[in-house]
Amino acid sequence: MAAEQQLDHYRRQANRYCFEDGFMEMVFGTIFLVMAIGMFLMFSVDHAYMWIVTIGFLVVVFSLAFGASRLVGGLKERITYLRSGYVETGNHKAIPRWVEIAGALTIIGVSFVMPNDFPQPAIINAMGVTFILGTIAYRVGLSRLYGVMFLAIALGFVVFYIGDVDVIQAAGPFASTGVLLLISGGLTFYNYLHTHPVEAD
Amino acid sequence: MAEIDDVDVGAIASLDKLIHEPARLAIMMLLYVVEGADFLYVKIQTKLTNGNLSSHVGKLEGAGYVEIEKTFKGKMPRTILRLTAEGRGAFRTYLNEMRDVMNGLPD
Repeated sequence: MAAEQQLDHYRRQANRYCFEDGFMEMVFGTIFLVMAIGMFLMFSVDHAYMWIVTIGFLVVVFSLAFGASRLVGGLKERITYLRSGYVETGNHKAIPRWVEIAGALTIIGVSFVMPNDFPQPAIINAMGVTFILGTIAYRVGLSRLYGVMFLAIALGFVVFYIGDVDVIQAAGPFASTGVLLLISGGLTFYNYLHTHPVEAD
Repeated sequence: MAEIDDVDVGAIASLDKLIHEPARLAIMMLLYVVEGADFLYVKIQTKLTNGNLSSHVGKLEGAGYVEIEKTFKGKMPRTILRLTAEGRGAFRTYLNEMRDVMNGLPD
């Protein structure tokens, strides 16, 4: 029915609202890059100092994750709400919980059945990144996020073939996806400013 | 050729006329899928003018379907529109009745 199609259009538009200005992508990209740097440091330091790096890494990532919402909120107050308005989307889940659980279990299951001579970190991390981006892309219906997801898969294969070093296999998928998201988010923000003028009162 | 006797004209006539107006239907649809939205968001999504939107929102508020919350975020004023429980119920009823009307139409 046309009304139901229109409802679905409005629902996806509201879900897409969070990603309209590019801020969320830039934040995710930054978090992924920090994770990649943390993994690189963990592989680089002496084992005696591994615990310091690990704790510092966890503190930074969790701080970023919690601080990101406040940062994005502040940016949206100053930039987005003046151009696109403000919407409270609620906690409607477009993806059933069982899909998320099945995806997580699949990734864990693959890590157990994979042969030992396979580059497990590269594949597992690439699968995780792909699953995260895929669920977000489906929920908001943004084709550019699907594009980033497929590029992340492609880069995961590149890391698979060239990454003979554990650190590259572990950090590679996160670093490459982080850079992709930063570029995608930056371009989206630039385009957003040009296509969404501040609404006059 | 369409069989006019098969069409339930009464069902069409009984649709909620407050909702069954294009601009107000768009407003109700938009607010139905979110928890709340400010005036600017609704205006951009429905492509209505300020005056038009104010007029239609006023009618929906008068019927008890929409509530308007005026708040401040810091120093910035914000007007949030939300469907009331009555408004959500009325919209669900309208959707079901529309669905029945459409399904009752001949091919």
